[in-house]
Amino acid sequence: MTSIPASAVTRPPVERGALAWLKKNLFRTPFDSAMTIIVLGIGVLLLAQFFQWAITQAQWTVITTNFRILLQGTYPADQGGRLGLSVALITLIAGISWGIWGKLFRATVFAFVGGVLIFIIVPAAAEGLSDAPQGTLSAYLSGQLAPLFSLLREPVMLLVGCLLIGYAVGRLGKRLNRKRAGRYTLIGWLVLIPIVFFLVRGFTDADGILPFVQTNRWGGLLLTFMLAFVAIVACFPLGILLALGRMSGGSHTLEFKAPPRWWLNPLQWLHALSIWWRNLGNYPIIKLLCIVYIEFLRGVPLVTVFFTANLIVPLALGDNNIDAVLRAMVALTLFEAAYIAEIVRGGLQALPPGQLEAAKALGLSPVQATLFITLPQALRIAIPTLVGQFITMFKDTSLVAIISLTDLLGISRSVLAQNEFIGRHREIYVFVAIVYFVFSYGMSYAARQLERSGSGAVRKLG
Amino acid sequence: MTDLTQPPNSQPFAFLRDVRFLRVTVQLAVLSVIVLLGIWLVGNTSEGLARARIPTDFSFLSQPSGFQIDEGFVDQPHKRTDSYANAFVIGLINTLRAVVVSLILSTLLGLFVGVARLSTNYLVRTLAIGYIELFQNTPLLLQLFFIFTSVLLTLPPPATPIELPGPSYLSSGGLATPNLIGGENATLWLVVAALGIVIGVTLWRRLRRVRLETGQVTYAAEIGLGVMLVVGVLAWLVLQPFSVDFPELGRFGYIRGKGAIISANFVAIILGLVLYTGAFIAEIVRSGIQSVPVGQWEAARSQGFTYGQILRLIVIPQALRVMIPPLTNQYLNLAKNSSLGAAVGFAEVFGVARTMAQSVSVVPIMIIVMGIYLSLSLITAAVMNVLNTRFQIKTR
Repeated sequence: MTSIPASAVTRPPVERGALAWLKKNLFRTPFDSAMTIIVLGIGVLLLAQFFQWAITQAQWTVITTNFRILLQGTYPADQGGRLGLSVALITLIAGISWGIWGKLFRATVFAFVGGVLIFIIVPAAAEGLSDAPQGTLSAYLSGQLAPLFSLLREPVMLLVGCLLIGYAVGRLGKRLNRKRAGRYTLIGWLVLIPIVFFLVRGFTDADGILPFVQTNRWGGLLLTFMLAFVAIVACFPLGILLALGRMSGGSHTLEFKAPPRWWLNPLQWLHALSIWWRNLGNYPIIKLLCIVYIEFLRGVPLVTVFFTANLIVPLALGDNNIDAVLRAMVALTLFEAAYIAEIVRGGLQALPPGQLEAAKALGLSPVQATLFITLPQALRIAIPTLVGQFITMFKDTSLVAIISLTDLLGISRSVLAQNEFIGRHREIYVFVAIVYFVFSYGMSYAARQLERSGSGAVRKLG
Repeated sequence: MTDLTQPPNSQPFAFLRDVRFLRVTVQLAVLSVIVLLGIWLVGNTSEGLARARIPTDFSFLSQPSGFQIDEGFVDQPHKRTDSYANAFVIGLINTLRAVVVSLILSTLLGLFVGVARLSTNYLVRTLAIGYIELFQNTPLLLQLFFIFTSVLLTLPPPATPIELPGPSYLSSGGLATPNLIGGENATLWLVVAALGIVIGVTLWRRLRRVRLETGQVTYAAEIGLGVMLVVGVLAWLVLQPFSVDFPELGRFGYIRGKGAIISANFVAIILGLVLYTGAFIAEIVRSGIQSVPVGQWEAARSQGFTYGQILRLIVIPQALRVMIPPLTNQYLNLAKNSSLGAAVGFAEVFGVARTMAQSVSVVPIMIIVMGIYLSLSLITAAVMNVLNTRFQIKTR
């Protein structure tokens, strides 16, 4: 047997370059190659169809004409600055949080810069094409797409600008004092939420600084946001209370050791009942109430809750003047609290029991142990799921369209009812879909970053 | 100095510091607050209903409803003169129809896309990701509106439909396909075919056991499936159990009662539910597959399994354990989301209830509707729980 000299044992050459990438990712096997060709065919066909429609057939004037209505409904036009300010504040603090807890990837920067450039270039380029002859592609571009882009330019630039400024501020704060910066940001969120609510709603009469705007004039994207915002903020504490209520009671379960034919003995029934009662924990009534609440609301569809709330809440409160938006907010909050409760309960159950035991051993009262030891850690574990639920909530607000409120989806239906835009479904639904997609995807992207950076996980020792 | 000679419990209000007492008091307080609140709300509601002269009992159920439903297994299953109770039953049947069909289809789609999502092929992977992100990040209601108004309703009108092989017709009025009409031998054929399936499955399992015990090649699947097919086809040829009923075109579209006509509303709700739920199931399948250790793949590959075999025999069975609880959640969501069929004019429970609410009091209607959905959810959860315990690793 001859031994192979060490020098002859080399790593197989690592192939680099575009060709090697193609071979590895697209044409590994004959089957792979066939798949590539089929998928490429389908993909190109779909994309080509879509772009051909979007660039040459779609009548985007339905969006440009109704742009303000889609964004803010019938909110008074002269008060629009308040909305802009609210958006700027929220994006700013979102950017700060991102700067402190997140990371800026090169791809994100490219996406931002690319997006902003498109919104500057397209209208500018369209300017140059504006005297193109009728019926040509250039004429279509300057007549249809350019106005849409120039309308979108300001909101998008505002968003991206505030986000980036916030990011820079956040990074600065993180460098100065990470702990304090984080704490101030959290307080900032808590303070900002009511501020934004009152900024949008107003409280003085017509000639004051912030004239009162009735909630039935909120509409479009504004209503979608306010519904999601209020529901997220309000359902969170309720959900935590429900979760704690459901988790209440002792951790020891008693076992009912049933003797043969125990059902013949009434004394054994009592025994079983008492064990069931004690197994329910030390707060059996509260626990039972929480379970019934959670399981009932998780078992029925949100539309039925909206529908019922819409018709029954005014009767139940004996007041016909409660407006539909408030009813929807109450219904959404009560509904989503049940889901939040289950998520928080999951976090509490995932916590190692040693945490609570250690807290007890240190002499913390049950309230202290919950507030300072178990709940913060449970929420930390639950962050990814919670964000997922918030995204669902954001999408769920669209269901108020069924009780004829004018959120983004609802108002797009009323726009379609205008005589001049009948049959322009595709344009408006594509626009609405893009808006929903940008915000949902943004949230899920942020959640994924948070998860990756490890802030969401339980901190480990050592 | 405190007097230590006194027994500690002699203070008259000591029980106020007794934890047991406090717990009971707190609970009773919470309970009484909730009960009082409930009484107040119910009282207000019934007072308001009485003032508006709206009846709140269930006696309306036996009265004629005054509206008709065209959606169902048969043509016009609910007529104006049928009772409200009948309308609820038809709505429930339609809900179940939509839920069962989309549950099966979305599982298949999710499985397919979830595997594609993990493909080594860059294009396949990207397309799968694109589909998942697009459908996860937009509301289902929007998707339903889009599918219904921007895709299905823009098809040619029923009078001039697109002709598909079959002959089937596709138009904005829905899909019309040939239908099988059972003759007098239909029941007999079904019995024979069922018998064939039983025999085939028994043979299959017996032969597979022989293979597993002795290592002989027994062609278990081939023989089993062959027996089923041969029995079914032979019995079909001999008995001629079904006649085919072809759809026909009249001047104004499909002629009712000819062929199977699937309404555009049904197609819309099915498409919407399948595409939306499929995206979520795909992510569940992906994370389930990824939860199986890489060593399992490597071991299987070194044993000579092909890619399909590894997935089918090694990875999916292990992944199922992780997948079933989130899958249960998705099925529950699907059942609840079927209530959005009302938005595309599909007559399911909520849609029927919404129609009823125009003529009858909403209180009893919504009690019934919520009861139906609640029991639907509980049944689904129970079935999935049984499945879950079946698939978990048995530890002894």
